[in-house]
Amino acid sequence: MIPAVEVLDVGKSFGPFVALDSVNLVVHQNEFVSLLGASGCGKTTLLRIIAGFESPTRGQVKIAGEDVTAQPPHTRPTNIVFQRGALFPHMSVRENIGYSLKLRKWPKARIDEQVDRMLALVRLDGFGDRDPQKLSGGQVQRVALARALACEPRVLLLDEPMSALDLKLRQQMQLELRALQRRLGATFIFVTHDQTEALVMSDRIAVMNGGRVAQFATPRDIYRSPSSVFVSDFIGQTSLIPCEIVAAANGIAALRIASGAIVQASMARGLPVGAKAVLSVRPESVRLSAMTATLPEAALTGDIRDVIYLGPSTRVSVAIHPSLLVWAELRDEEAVGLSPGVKVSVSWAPEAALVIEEGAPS
Amino acid sequence: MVAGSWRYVWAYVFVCAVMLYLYVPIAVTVLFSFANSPRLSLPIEGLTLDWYSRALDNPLIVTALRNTALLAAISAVGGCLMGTAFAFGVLKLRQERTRRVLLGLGLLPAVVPLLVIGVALAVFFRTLGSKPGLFNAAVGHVLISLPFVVLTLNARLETFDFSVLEAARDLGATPGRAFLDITLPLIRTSVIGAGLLAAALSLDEFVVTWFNVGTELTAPVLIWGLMRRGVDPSINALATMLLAALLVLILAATMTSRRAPQ
Repeated sequence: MIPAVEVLDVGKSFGPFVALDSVNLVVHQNEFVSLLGASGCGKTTLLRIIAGFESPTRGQVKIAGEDVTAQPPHTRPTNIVFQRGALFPHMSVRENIGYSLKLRKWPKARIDEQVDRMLALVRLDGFGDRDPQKLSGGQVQRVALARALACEPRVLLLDEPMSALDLKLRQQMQLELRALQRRLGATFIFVTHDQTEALVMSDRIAVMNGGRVAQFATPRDIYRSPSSVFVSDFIGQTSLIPCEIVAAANGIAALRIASGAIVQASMARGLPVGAKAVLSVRPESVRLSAMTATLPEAALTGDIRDVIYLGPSTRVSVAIHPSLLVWAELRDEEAVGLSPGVKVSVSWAPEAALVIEEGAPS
Repeated sequence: MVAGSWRYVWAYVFVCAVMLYLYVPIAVTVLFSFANSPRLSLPIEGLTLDWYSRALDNPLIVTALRNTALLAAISAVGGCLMGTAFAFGVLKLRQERTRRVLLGLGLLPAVVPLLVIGVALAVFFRTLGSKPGLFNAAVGHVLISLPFVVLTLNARLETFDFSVLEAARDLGATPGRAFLDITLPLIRTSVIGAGLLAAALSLDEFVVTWFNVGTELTAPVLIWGLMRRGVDPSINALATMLLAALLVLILAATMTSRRAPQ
């Protein structure tokens, strides 16, 4: 099958500032892809290049196999949902949604029919004659979505469409958007700086950093097997511990950390013994237990620094070395008896921790 | 009475004095344009519209009024077209500094003395070999109205959400279509307001007109000419007509800009 969108070696500079540095990205048809990164990472620039609002300094953009690099936005089979909706304030909701169809010279009756379908799709039946300025933030974004979907674009681009909404509404819209994409069987490219949003909605996530794609993979792979320290740090909470590889076998490595303790973790890429690396361990994989006298010397121990109650869980930081903190996320009953200053032993299942090459490209 | 109240009394007196200073000369002119005695002296014996009919019977005054209206219309249309295009062009510039400098230069003529503009234009036209007349005066009028149009439009465009234009382009509109469907309806009230302001500025423009209009007449030029031969009450009528037209234009400009969508 022809990919929905191909971004081939695209670069973009604004004067001396490099916004995108050789980006390659192939999005399949009917796929929900998120471009995730902090502000300034180039995610919005990439989206605008796909939409046609910016032209790349080099590289090529193909949509459904056709090279559209030189095409202006109005001839591209993409539509965009803007951050703040960008509804036409002088038109009714109905006129907003029907605008692209009017430009395509659809007959009036067919436009009305399609607009009604779109209103139903975003669950705004009966809102057609409203003035966009009298809509709530969530309704504005739904109308913007309906307007962008009305002419059935091959690819829908979404530029942080929920960043202005409050948390509850955002969570609800995330699920709706995901369900909508499944139902329509359309290709969505979604820009966000919110990792939870990206994890909830995406088939695949492109984590971006400094104008490059750091990793492009499924949410599970991004979370479980980050390809670099940057990705590991950016997605979710993690403790990053500098270490040195002392032995390796069957994908499990033994590592020495600064305190002298030997710990184990899984190693996807075969690094040589003696190599410096970074150990990434997620808080939910860390177990803490009160110190017993029978621990081997190389076991990992530390003093509890902070205990933070989060409701469903409790987050505990342990100083395993004067400058090294490991975070653990525990269920309530596991956290009983833990308070700042208590000595604990720290452990995790080797397959739940990951060794990442220190200089891996971010 | 306590001391505080006296302070208020003085404040009222002062405000009244300023108001009198501002409006008595205008009020007198308007009043005398309706007075039935040819001499300008109080008390007024009776009211009449004679001076108005006499003014409108005078072919010079009619020509002057027609020319003035024509120049006002040219200022409104020409100033709006050029000023709007300029405001848009400046806003599209990427460099913040260049934008500020250009905007400043666009507004500068508003504080250049009219005498300087008038003389400079006259010399400029002479070098070009363009004879003084209504055309030269019209060029001058558009020039002096431009900064005000630019200022009005710039204020509107600063709050203009350009993403709606991108949305239109994205949905399939060509640049021209997006301008007609989206930009124009959204800035229309500001453009009309700026046009009315330009017309109002043109209506009583004298200095630049005087240096460039040659032997043609506009209302302010004619009034100046007539005044040199003593004050004829029909001058009061002419001045009052100008005043009324100005008031209407300014009121209309204020009302349209107040109705502008935010």
